[in-house]
Amino acid sequence: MTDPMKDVFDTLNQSTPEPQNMAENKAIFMATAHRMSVTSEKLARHQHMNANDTKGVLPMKLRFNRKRVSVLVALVAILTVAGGVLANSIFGFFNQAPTDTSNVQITWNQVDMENIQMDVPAFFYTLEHAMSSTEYYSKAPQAVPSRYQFYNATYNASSGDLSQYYQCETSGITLSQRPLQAGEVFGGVEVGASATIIPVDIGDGGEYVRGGWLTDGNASTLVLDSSAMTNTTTNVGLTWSNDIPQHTLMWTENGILYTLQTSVTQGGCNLTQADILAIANSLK
Amino acid sequence: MDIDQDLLKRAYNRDESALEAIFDAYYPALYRYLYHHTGHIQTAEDLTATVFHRFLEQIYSDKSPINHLSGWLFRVAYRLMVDDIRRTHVRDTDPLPDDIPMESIIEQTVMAQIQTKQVYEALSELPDRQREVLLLRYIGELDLFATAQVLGLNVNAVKALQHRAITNLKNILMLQGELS
Repeated sequence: MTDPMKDVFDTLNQSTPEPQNMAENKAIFMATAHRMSVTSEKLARHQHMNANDTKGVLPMKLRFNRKRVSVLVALVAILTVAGGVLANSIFGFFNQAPTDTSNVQITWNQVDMENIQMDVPAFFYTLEHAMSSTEYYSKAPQAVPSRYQFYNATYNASSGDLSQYYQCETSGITLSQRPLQAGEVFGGVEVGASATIIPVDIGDGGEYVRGGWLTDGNASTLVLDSSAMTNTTTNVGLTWSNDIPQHTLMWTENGILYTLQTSVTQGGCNLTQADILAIANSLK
Repeated sequence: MDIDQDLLKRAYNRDESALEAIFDAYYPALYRYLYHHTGHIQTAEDLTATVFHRFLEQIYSDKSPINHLSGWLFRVAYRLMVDDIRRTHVRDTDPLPDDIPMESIIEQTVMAQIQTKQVYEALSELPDRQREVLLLRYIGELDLFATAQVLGLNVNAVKALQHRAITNLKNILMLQGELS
C-alpha cells in the first residue's frame, strides 16, 4: 500500500532550500572533534599522572606535618595576591581621564562601498556554534541572571575576539574575550577622573568600574548628519557619571583578555556589582 | 534511516571517519526538519550545527551513552528548536521562492510552489504533537522507534498520533481542494 502522505511531503522536501553552510559547519565539526579528542587524551594522561603522584605519598606528608602545610598555604596566598597586583600594574585595564568631561570630534565620511575592505566578524545565533569557532578555549557564563537571555554572538577570526550578547528588554550584557598577543601594549579603557577603579581578585587580576560617559545633545545631530551626502564633522560632549547603572569588569586569565560590560541597565533588568562578579566568576 | 550501531561504536572510539559519516548522513535531514520549524535557513543551519556540537560533547564526556543515534539527534534538535522559538518569539521567515520571474518558470514548478504553500498552511492548523510526528516521520525520515524516543512516547502512541495527524491533514487539504 502506498503512503498517501509521501507525495505531499516529497513536494515539501523538494521545496526546502539547500543548506548554505554545510561544508563550513562540517569543517568546524571535524576540527572541534579533533580538538576534543586531543584535549580528552591530554586530560586522561594528566589525571593518570596525578593519580600516580598522590597515591600514598602526598597525603601522608600532609597528615604528619601540619606546620609545613600552614607555611605552604600562606606562601601560596601571598604569591596569588602579588600575582594579581603584578598583572594589573603591567596591564592597565582602565585609563583615568584628567577630568570628568571630554570632547570627541567625529567625522562622518562618505564610504566607497565598492572598494571598502572590512574585517567583518562571523555572526552566530547559537552560543555553542560561536564557541566552537574559536581557535582557543573560549568560555561562557553559567550564571547569567534569568531575565537575561543569550541573543547572539560575533567572532572575528583575525583578532580572535568572541563577543557574546545577552539581552533583557532594552538592557544588555556583552562578554568579550580574545587572546593577548605577545608583548601587547594595552592602552586601557578611558574612564572619568572621578571614577573609582576597584581591583578585583579574578583570574590573573582584574579591575571593575561602575559608571559611564553620557553624551550631550549633539549626539542626535550625529545620527541626522550621518545620512548627509557630504563629509560632516560633529563635536560630541561627554560627561562621566558614577551614578548610572553601567558596569565594566576587565581581567586576564591564561593569556586571554576578558571584558564584561553592560549597557545602562534599567528597571527589572538592573544589575549590581555583585551580579557582575557572579557572572564573571561563573565563566566556564 | 538509521546509522549502523557499529558507526556509533567507532565514534565513541574517536574514529573521525565515523564522525564524518554521521555528519554527512544526518545533517541534511536535521536541517530540513529544523528549517520546516523555523522557516529560516541561517537559524536552521546554526541549530543543526549546535546539535552536532552537543553530540560531540556527549560522546567525549562521561555522560550517559547514546543508544539510538537518530532518536537522540532529533530529540536534541527538537529541544533546541523549542528554546529558540521561546527566545525569539517572532522571526521573519525566509520568503517562499515565489518571486521568480514568471517567464522563467515551468508550470510544474508553479504548481509545486502552490502545493508547498498549501501543505505549510495545513500543517500549521494541526495540533503541535500531530504536526511534530509528521515532520519527524516525513521530513526527518525517522522510523517509529526513533520518533517515539524524540516525543517521549511509546511506539503504539506514535502510530495513533500519526494516524490522527494524517487524517486531519487530509481533511484540511481536501477542504483546500488539494486532494479532492
